[in-house]
Parts: sequence; structure tokens; C-alpha cells
Amino acid sequence: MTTALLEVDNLSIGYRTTTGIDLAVDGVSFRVDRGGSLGLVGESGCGKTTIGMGLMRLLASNARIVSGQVRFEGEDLTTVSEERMREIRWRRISMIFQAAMNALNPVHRVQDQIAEAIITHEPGLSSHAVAHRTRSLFELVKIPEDRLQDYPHQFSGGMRQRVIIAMALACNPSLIIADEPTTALDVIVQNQILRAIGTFQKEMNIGMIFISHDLAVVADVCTHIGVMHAGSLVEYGLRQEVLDCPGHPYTQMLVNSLLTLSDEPADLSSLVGPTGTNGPAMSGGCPVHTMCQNATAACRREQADWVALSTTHRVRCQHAGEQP
Amino acid sequence: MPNPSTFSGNPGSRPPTSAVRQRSRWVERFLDGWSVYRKNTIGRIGLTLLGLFGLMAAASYIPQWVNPIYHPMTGVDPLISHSTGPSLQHWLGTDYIGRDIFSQLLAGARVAFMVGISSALISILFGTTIGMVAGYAGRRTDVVLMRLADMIMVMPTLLVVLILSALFGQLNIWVIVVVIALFRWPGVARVIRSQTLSLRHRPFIEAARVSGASHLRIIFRHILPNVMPLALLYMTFRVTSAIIIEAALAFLGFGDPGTVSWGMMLQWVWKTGHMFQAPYWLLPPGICISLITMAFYMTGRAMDDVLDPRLRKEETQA
Amino acid sequence: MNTHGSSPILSMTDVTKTYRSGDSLLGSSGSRVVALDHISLDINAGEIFGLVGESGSGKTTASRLIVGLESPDDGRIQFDGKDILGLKGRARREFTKQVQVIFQDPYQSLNAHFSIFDTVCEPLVIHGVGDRASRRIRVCEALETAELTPPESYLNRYPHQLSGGQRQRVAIARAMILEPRFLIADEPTSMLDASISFQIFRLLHRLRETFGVTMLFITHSLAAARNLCDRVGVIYRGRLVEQGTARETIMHPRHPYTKALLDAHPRFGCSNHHGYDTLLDVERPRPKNDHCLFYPRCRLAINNTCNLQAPKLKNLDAAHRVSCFLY
Repeated sequence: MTTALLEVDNLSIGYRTTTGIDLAVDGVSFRVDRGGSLGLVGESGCGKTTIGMGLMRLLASNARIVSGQVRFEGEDLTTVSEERMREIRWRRISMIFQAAMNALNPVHRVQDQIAEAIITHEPGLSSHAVAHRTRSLFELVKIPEDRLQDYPHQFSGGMRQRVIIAMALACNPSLIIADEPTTALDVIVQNQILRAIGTFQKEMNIGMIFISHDLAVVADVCTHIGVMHAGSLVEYGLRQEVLDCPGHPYTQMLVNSLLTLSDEPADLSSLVGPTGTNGPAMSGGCPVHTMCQNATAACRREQADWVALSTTHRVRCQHAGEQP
Repeated sequence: MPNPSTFSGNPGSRPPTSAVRQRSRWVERFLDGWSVYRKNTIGRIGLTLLGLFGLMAAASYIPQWVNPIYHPMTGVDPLISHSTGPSLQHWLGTDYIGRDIFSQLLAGARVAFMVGISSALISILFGTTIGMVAGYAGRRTDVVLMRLADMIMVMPTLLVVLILSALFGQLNIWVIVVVIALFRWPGVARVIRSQTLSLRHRPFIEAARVSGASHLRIIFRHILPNVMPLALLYMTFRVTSAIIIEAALAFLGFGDPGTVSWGMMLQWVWKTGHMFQAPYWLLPPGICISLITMAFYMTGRAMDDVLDPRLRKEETQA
Repeated sequence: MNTHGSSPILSMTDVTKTYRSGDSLLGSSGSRVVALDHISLDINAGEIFGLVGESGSGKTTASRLIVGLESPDDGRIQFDGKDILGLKGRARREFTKQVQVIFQDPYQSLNAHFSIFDTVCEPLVIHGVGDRASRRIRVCEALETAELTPPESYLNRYPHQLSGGQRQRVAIARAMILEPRFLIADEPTSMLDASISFQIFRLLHRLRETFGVTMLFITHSLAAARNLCDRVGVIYRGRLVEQGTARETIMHPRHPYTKALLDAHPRFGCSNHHGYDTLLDVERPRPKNDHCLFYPRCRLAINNTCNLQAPKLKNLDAAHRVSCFLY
């Protein structure tokens, strides 16, 4: 087993409110290996984006890391100085935001914007080296070289998102955090972008955290899947384990509600899918006990501890493993 | 045009329970806004000042009730026949025929509120209706109404009122109020129109259209509640301008001679040649005019903050 | 519930709609954007017809034309055999009682100032149906139909107090309260999370089973169309490129574009993944003259044919139609 590129240990992030601190992320632990990719899946508001921002230390001013450690290449990112963090950001860890393609500056050529990203973080580089790197980045994300001189408005949404990916890769980072990178895009373009991400991730041996609400997309790109619900990680494992034998009722619900393409359509009227509304979780109780059929008094009282289903697959449910 | 079903849906014919519900929503919105407003220093100053002027207006009935010589218009101190400085009898002194300046000042507050608020109400009523209709109808209606608004907007209000009073003699205070209102709606109409334009294609309006809602229903039941806060904001600014215009008219001698407004007081100071002899007479109405317009303006500014969506608590996140 | 051969409840014939961009008061100097280009399709009573396309393909325009939010430049739309363009007065109101829409974004399609009762009740008020007591009962029934239970607990609440899924159910209750015969669902779940989307699909399916309401289901998701619809039409840049039963069209597509869509679908859980590979890596320049709109991206394009004329919809069999020169 290789040493982990990133190890997140019991990370909690809270937002200050008038009444105290609301935990948006509650005791989350996971690891990402070099060349590995972790997909964080969950509904909007489950805290997955907050984790991404927390790792980059780019949290909103009213949010802060309450507890936990983030070990990245031997450093604890929760304690390093702001100056060191600036060096790490983009050079070591970079991020692809949702709808970032709208963030390109319309009055500069695409080429110059990428070159600027390189020069900002590696000031010593010669202009020749910068130009060379820009060209190879474009090759990697499959933008024809003759479009280097174009302005952003001459690009389609998918092409602009490729430029953003090229910028994220500009400084050879070892970890990329992609937050819903394809959400605003059409199916065909989304697929192309996902392929591009998969290619560079393998070729450059980069670790990746892929944040998405769409389990199908995550299943396409990631080696590991972490399922989040209401601020906590409820299931974590290899892709195949999580998809084939989901242990947590919430994951089961997500997997069941994946509509697939098959010769016979799913029988919508009879398929046991999610029912009920997710009412607010009682403090301390299992966050999904209101919609779980197997919920017992213990589930209402406290959140279960991790149950290991295999060496790589763990679930936060007391009933995990009871039934096949 | 109105068809019977349009009116079956207006609030008047609704069961009482729904009226209560409607109000509770408004109360909720008000409390919500108030929690933002109260954090605003300028807003607090403005509101405090308005409260003080409100007290003055309310107290304006007291002096004449204590002693008829304090009546702001007809009360004359028999012992005084010229303007005197402050004394125990007359806290701010008397004017040239022995009328009490303090009680005139109190009466002026009442007139200022009356003129400002009623004129603002009328212009908001016009402006909001015209703005909504123009924005919603679009096409030719929009063009015609907005050109009309432009024409009125560029007319010098003061000059027109002067000409009117030259034609018809001294104008009654209520006529002045209405004339000011008629010249002050175009700005409101423009703002409400652009707000309506942005609402017109919002899905909830289109949902109402798909359900077969009439234009009147869409304008008054769907668009009006959404532009109402903006209209109220503009009302505070209209109050300011109405008070200033009335003061200017009165000072120029075209006010209602039967009303004691602050502008009228200034005119008396000027006409009787006390401008630089009697600061006790000149300064109080001058300061009051400045302060009350400032107070309304500050209140408006603070309301602007309340309406700023970025400062409001996110309603779309459930 | 297959109703082939029955007369169509809604039929569009050669419907065309263009928008002018950069329009000014002084004249139409701006360019024209074709949203719908001679679209013809029939929707049979009782079926769920899926209109599949990417954003900007014109699928939403189609729904707006049907309900009269906009009017087409050309073509005919018939409901129940009667022309619906230019309906006025009583006839228009009768039509609006029968055709309702569920909009894409439940955060935008409900008036924030209306309680749930007022929102759902509004169509009854507009059409003057019932009195106070009966309206309240009907609103509760509609909420129950939309699986908001107990309905009484929702009546006095406001949209911002509900979750996205609950709001979409309120929109569905509102659309169903007049018991329409035709329902348009315009990407009803694109703003919702996956598990909630599933519930909404199931609800729509139930509405058809219970009330026999005909549905036009607009979506960008092949999986949703496959699982919910009886027949689908695939629309690309304003033109219908393929149409047929959901099973045939999605599992055995003919048009290169439909194949490309299928290729792009996340592979998870798809029993037979074909790898049609119909997309070019580098797009060809767009021909000046009339051409197949997919020509610039199509690997299978036939030179001197696809770039010189636009294909017409051809019948492959009784149900399956495709607009491509390869067939």
C-alpha cells in the first residue's frame, strides 16, 4: 500500500450563527492516494462543497475548521501559515469550480490567461518554457493549438471548461479538487470533459477529489466513493463495493434511484425507492432514521459507529451487514 | 378587461381566515426587514428624528388649547405688537404681529407630514399603477406611457405651479399637494416598470398565465406584492421632495395663506424684513425643513439596505 | 397503456419559431436564431411522450408554444382536432383548463407571497370553480394526489418553508387541480437531487396510471425518458432527428446524434453499451447552404449529400422515424 497523498482525519467545519456554531461538516475522515480519485456524493447542502473549500482553506469568513487534521504531503493544512498555504494552493492543490468557465476574463486571450496562471505561481520560468507548457496543456485537454489566440467568447461552454481545467493543471499539482465541474454542461460535453479529466489524472498520476450530486457521474470517474449525508460521511469504499453492495440505507436509496438504460424500463410504480421526506435529524441520532425502514430506538438515539464491511469498505450504520 | 372571475380572487371577497394568513406573512416579512433595519445607524437616526417630528405634529394642538393666544394662525399676544425674541411666555419669541413662533413651528410639522405623506401617497399610487401597466403590457402602451413620463419628468415643477397659481390665484394646500403628486410620479413609474419587466417572464407569472389568469389578476395579485417594497422605498424619497417643493412655493409667496407651514414662516420673515434681524424666527423653520427632509431621506436609504437582496436572509434555500 | 392508432390529442404541424437577437426599436438588424424548425409531431391520448434534447435545442420553446406563452411564426398546433393558435375568450379559458404545465424550477415557479393553499387554489379561483368549502376540499385532494400528506399541514405554509421536492409537488398539485387532460412537464427534476427526482418521476407515472392524463415530458436525460416515456422524439437544434417508441429509439438508435447522446450517457448500470462513436474529434466548418444540422459533428456524414441538403424525417417502420441520409 502506498502512502496517502492526502489524509483527512475527523475534520469538522462549522458556520458561526447567532445561536452558536452549526456544523456543516461533522467528523469526516478519508484518504486519497496518488493517482487515486475519491468521489464525494451527496445532496445539495450536505457539506461536500464545504469540505472542498475547507481543504483549500478558502472558507467563507463566518466558517472555520472546528477540529480535525488534513495531512497533505507531510504537512497539516489546518495549521500551516497562510503564506505557506498560498504556495500550496494551485501549485500543489488546485481546484476546478462549478461553472468556472464563466470566470474567464473576456478581454484577454485564452493563451495569455493560462500563461499568467503559470507565471504567477512560478515566476522564475522563461517565456519560452511558459509557451511550451501552455501548448502541452492544451494538447492534454484536447483544444486545437490554433485556438490558443482566441478570446473566451469564441469558445463554447465545454471548451471554456477545458481551459479552466488546463489552468488548474498549469503548475503540475499533485491533488485536484473538482467541485461539480460538469454540472452546467450538456450530456455530450459532460462526457468529453469527464474523459479529459480521467486521462490527465491517470497520465499525470494526480490525486483527485471529485465532488458531485450525481452518483452516475462519480461512478464513471472515481476509484473510491464517499457518500455524504447531512454533514457526515456515511459510507466509504471502493467504487465497485459501494455500488454493488451499498451498506448504508441512504446509499441504497441513491443507488436505487439511479435510472439506468436497459431493455426493460424500471417499473416505476413498484420499485422500492426512497419514500418520506427527510425531516431534520435529531441531534445525536442517525441522520436518516426518519426515512429508514430498519430504524430502531438506538438509531434515533445516536449515530452509529463505523462498521467495516471489508478492509476498504466501511459504513456508518448499525444494521450494516445484517442482511445480504 | 375585467371579467367577473378577476374579482372573485381579490382579497376583499376572501374568507377571513385567509386574510389573517396573508397578514401573518406580511408581519413576518416586516419583522424580517426590521431586524436588518435596526442594525443600520443612519436608519436609526432617521427614524428617531421622524419620531421627534411626529411628536411635534401631535403636540401642535396643545398650545392653542392652553391659551388661545397661542393659536398659530389667529392667536395674537395682545401685549406684543412687533417681533420679540425668546421669553418665558413665548419660548421661541413672536412674529411681527405677536404670534407665538413655537406654536407655529409645531403646526408646521403637522403640515409638513400632511403635505409630504399625502402627496407621496398619491404619486406612488399613480407611479406604481402606471409603471406596472407599462412594464406588463409592453409594446405601444409602454412606449406611450413612458414618453408621457419623460415629458412630465423634464417639466420644471416649480415653474408650472407658479404659472398655475398666477392663473387661478392663491392655491389651496390640497391643490398644491395634488399638483406636486402629479409631477412626481414619473420617477416612480420608471423604477416600478423596470422591476415589472424583470418579473414579467419569471416562471411564477408564466404559471399564472398558463392557469388562465387575467391581466388584472396578474398585475394586482402577482406583481404588486413583489414591487410593493420598492414602492414604499420610493415613497420616502417622494415625501422629501414634496416637503421641499411646498416650502419653496410658500416661501415664494404662492403657498396657501390659510396654512402655517415652515415655508410660510420663512416667507413672513422675508416679507417683513426680519431676515437678518430675527435669527430666533428665521432659524427654527429653516432647520426643521432641513432636518425632516434629511430624516426621510435617511430612512429611505436604510430601507434600501433592507431591500438589498444580498443582505436579506436567503429565502430560496430550504 | 399503449395507444397506437388512436387519434392524437395534440398535434403540431410544421411549427417554426425564430427569435431575433439584438433586436432594436428601429429595426431588426440582429441575427435570427431558429428555435424550432418545421417540427411536426403527434401525441396520442394517454401516452407519455418524451422530448429529448440538450439545452438550447428548442424543446422548451415547444412547450411554450403549446400553452400560448408565445406564438409560432408558422405552422399549426391542434388540440383535440381544434386549432389552438389565436384562441380567444371562452375557448381559450376552456383550453387552459385542459392543458397545464409543470415548470423546471420549483424555486421560481411559485409566488413567494402566496400560501400553499392560495397557490394550489388559484386555478379554481380563476375559473370560478366551486365555493369556499368545496375549494378547500379540492385543494386537499390535489395535495394528496401529489403525495403531500397530511394536506392540511401544508395549506398555511409558504414556498420558502418547503424543500425543493415539496415545492415541485405543490406545483404538480396546482397543475392537477383542474383535472387537465394534458400535462407538460418541462424538465421537472433538473433542479432537484437524484433521489428526489426519482420520487417525482414515480409520481408522474402514477398520475398517468390513475388519471389517464396525457403527458409531454421534456428532458435532457435519456435515462429518464427511457424509464418514464412510451414514445420519444429527439430534437437537435430545433429539428426533430428521430422519433419512435422509447425502447426502439433509446436502445436501438439510428440517428448519429441519438447514438452520440447514448455514448455520452454515464456507463454505470447500462446493460448494453454500444460505443457507437459517431462524434468527430474536430468539428467541420458549417456549410453556408442548407445542410444536415449534425453534419459538422458527424463522423458518418456522407460527403456531397449531408452538407448540401437537409434530410427529411423518413419512416423506418410504423413507429420509428429518423431524419438521416444513412437510412
